[in-house]
Amino acid sequence: MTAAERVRAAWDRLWFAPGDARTLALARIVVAAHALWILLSRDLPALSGLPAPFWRGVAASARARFLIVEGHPRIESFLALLAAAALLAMLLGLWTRASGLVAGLLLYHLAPLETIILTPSPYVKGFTIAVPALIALSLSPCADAWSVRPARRAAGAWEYRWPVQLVRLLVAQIYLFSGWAKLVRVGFDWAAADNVRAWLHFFNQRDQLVVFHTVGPWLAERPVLCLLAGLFAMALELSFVSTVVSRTARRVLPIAAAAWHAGILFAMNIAFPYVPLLLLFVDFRQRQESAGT
Amino acid sequence: MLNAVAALVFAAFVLLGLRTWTGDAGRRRSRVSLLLAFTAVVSFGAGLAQRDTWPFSSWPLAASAPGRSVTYSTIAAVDARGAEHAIDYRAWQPLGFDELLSWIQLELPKLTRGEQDEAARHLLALAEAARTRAAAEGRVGYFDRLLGPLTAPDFLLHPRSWPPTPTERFVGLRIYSETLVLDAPSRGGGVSERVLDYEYR
Repeated sequence: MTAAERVRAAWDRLWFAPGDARTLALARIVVAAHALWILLSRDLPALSGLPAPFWRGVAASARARFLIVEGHPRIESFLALLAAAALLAMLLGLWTRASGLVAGLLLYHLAPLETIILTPSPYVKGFTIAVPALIALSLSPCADAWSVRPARRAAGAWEYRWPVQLVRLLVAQIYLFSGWAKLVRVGFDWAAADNVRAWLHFFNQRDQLVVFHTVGPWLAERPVLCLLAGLFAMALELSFVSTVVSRTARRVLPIAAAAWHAGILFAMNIAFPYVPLLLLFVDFRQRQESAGT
Repeated sequence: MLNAVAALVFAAFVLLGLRTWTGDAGRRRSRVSLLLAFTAVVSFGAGLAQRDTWPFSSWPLAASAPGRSVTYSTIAAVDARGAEHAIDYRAWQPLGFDELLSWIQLELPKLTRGEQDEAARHLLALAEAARTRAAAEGRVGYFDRLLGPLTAPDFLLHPRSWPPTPTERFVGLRIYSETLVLDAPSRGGGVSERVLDYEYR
């Protein structure tokens, strides 16, 4: 087998190995429900009505990029309502080609409203995975299972696999790039006890940031635990991408990540909005095979 | 420039995706492969180069070294009797608390005095409306209007300052720069300096 053939075979194994309609349906439900949860927990259209001084520093190219024209909260309200309806349809498995595409495109336009007066990237606000994921899911037979209107004819098994893998990759990149960013900007010293301690103090000394104030200060006074926490964070972040290719990793790392986020919540008062997306790593075919062995 | 590149990347992602809707199974699979390769290149490009092309993000979460101290903006309300009050983080809705304070720190100083006052007038109106609502109905913000206690929390948690809700009407705002020494209080940690940057009445 030539090198090119080996690469091609690995590519096919990664993206086009036979998939399960239920795993894809779960991805549809998790992504749509998560996006709907965030959308209904904010008021993005009202931000369009902020007075002119707030828009002064927003680059014209940023407005054009997201087709944002300030001063039209009513139009934005209509678009947000349409996005919510599309997400609900996606959740139920209705007209998923149209509903996924419409929801993805509308969220691409609406999500930046939350931060655009400061930055055009609302990456921590909750919609970063949803936008490409909804569009990818709209291209797939994601309503063949767990839908109020299931398909009459099953699609090819390869069609159930690639969208799940793509969405998993996008989630895994959160961790990979977060770890990579630490290496690029600080280096391995990011994991040093002094740096972790500084972060713990940062999130536990500003009175307007502190809800949980026991674990963080306690941890900050223990240099060995700070070092271990720093090392664990980097190891988890840099290794999480293995979940895309390894079933063993999919069994272990999402649970470790969820526990890690719980620790961060209590130690650093950070509620990471993408935690529910760790459900995307549940693999139904894997469960069937495990049950059979 | 980056905005234009990011817009083109997203448009190409959508168009490559739409192409997968048509054709026989073999052709669709090839087109899906092209979409996947493109997405891998742009998403890994954004992450590895640390150039955010949202929604393909570089995810720089807590990626810096905060060092010995940090300086940030805080905002307080002044009532008709001249007393100063903390403002509950929910009072700024629909604005996010963290985006607002970062905007105040980074963008407000770039505005003319007239523009600063116009922005402050809007913020004062938000704070006073929230105070009135909290006093009358016990509700400070409104993000929980649909989901109640299941409302998604902010990325950074914030404590509730109200109740007790201030009883006097707000008539002004003060913006401070606070410097925080990142260490245990026993080693000099905590707020070390507070400077009034701007006042609106």
